[in-house]
Amino acid sequence: MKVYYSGKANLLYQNFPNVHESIVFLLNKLDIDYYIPEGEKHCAEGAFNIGFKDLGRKVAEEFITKLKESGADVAISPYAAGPGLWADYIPDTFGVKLPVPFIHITEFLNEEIKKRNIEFKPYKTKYFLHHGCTVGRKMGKAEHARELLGRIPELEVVEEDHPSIGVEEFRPEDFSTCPGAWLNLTQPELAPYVTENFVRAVVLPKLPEFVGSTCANGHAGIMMGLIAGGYKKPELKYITEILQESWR
Amino acid sequence: MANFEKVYKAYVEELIEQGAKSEKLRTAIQRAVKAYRGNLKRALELFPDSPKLKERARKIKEYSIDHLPELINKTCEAVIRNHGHCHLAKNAEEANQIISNLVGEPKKIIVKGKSLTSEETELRQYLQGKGHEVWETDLGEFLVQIRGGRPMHMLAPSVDLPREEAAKLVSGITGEEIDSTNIEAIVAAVRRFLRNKYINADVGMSGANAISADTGTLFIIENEGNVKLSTALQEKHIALAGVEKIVPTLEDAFLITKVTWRYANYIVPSYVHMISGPSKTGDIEKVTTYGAHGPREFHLILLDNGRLEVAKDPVFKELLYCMKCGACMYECPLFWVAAGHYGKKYVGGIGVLWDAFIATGLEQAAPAAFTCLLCGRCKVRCPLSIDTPRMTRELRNILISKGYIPAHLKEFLKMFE
Repeated sequence: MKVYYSGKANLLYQNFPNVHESIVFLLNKLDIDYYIPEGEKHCAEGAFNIGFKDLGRKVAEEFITKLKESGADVAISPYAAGPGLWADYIPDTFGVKLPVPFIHITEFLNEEIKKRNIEFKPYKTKYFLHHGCTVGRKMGKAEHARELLGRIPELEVVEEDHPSIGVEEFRPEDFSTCPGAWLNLTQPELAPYVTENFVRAVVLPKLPEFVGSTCANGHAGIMMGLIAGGYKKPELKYITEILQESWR
Repeated sequence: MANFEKVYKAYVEELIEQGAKSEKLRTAIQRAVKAYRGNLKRALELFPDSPKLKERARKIKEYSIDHLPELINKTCEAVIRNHGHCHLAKNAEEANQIISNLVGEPKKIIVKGKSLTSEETELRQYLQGKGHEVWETDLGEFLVQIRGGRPMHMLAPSVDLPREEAAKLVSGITGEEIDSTNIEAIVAAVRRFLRNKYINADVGMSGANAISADTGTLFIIENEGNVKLSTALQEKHIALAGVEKIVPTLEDAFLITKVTWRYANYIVPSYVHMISGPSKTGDIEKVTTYGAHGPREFHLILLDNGRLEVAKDPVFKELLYCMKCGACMYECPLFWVAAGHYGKKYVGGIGVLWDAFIATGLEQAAPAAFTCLLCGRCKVRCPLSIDTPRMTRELRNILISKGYIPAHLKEFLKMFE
């Protein structure tokens, strides 16, 4: 099986080389044949979300071409909106289709780790898991991240809660709050306030040691919020970093 | 596009300076969100049929917006049959003019219930400009009136105002000393102040939460009793409502009203008014005589202001399903920080769409269109699952095609060159 790993360029652009390294570490440990596209701009979500529909279409078509050329069987990404947009919005709007499935990295890793029955070292800490809006809310795929982290002994995972869960037919991830990283692109003046408020109102009350999101954009928003608020704790770690540190 | 740059700058400045930087505002909103969630949970526990009602409400709205011209005619026929008067106003200016003519001259006293549609047309300011004495009677709206500025939430217009400031404002207008720690004392002072206004007013005004086309009946939800006093004691009752409030039947209107109050944070509101025309009696010889104890005249002004055009659009017609319950705002991470400064006449993500196509036009609405995160929590919370993120994405595309694009986003384009 060959994997197309999308998002490296964005991770580096958003100053997350450690997240990229942890992904590569895990892919290598799992002995996965992967392909990292060179010169990838992004998977079209930014353009679509901002409103550059034509540009989005162009980037989407480039993505399809690169994916075909790679010969990959599956595309994965640590970003949430990419797989989310490709799940319905892009195909519905433009009638284009990906040649292979595009899934979130947690779904891929969870399946591969499950297949290999891999055991992790204990990691005694409290981790706040944020669900990216498209993977969790829209695609309903929050359980992969939970299962992955649940494989680490002694790791306590906490999530955002909401009084409507249990009263109405909602799952916790349906109400996951966006940390606000998008504003850095669309309205940068507002970004520090919204991201800081997310950390203050949503994350800090849970008193975690570490925090991370299934969405690398959400992850960036949390980072911005931690910086804007001058918070030393919790420390930011992507799910793959926690997995890397717990690898036996 | 030089003007758009000014519009953008002014919007962002207000958003940051008056919204995002205000710790006081953030605290007030956080308290409101907590209270909202607690009350809603209690309401849903008491009435577990709510999710089913939501589905039916969505279907009613879908049908109604697809049949608006027909339902408008039906409504007007019913209102006239009920000895009321029905007016269809093409735009805000026309609505205000019709109302001004109905109010007449010389200077009149007008008491008003809360109405977002009247915020859209700037009716109070218009009538004040004609020399009339106009009072907002909803407590939150009254506070907004005496403070100046605009409402910060669809249903809770002064949600950003702590009690200390409210006391100061009320004290300033009533001349009474008010204990600023005591909310009851503030409410009592406003009650005393407005009592005479209701009695002496010539015209009472209201909006409507829903209108049934078959009977021409207005449904109005309230808790304070101010709508009761603004629609019953005056000679004339003038109601202003957007055409999207019309639904086919009395039963439909009740269901829409019920879903609105449930998600607007009320287990049950103190009052739900049903008004179908002027007051009447048949107590002498069964001869119906109009103008009994309540108003002699009833006028319904139905406002189009772009709604009929939007109703034809396959994507944007969904914005007309909005019942203005305000639930979406309590779950919006931007509203938590910016409150009503996120938007112009209407507030929040859905408000930006209302501004763009109905209240202010594309240019004025454009800066706030780039505030939305497209995260979709509003859609989850909305009882009608209105897809605000999808419409916002489409709106952005339109704005960009017309050149209403912030300068920094033009830079973003260069990444692809």
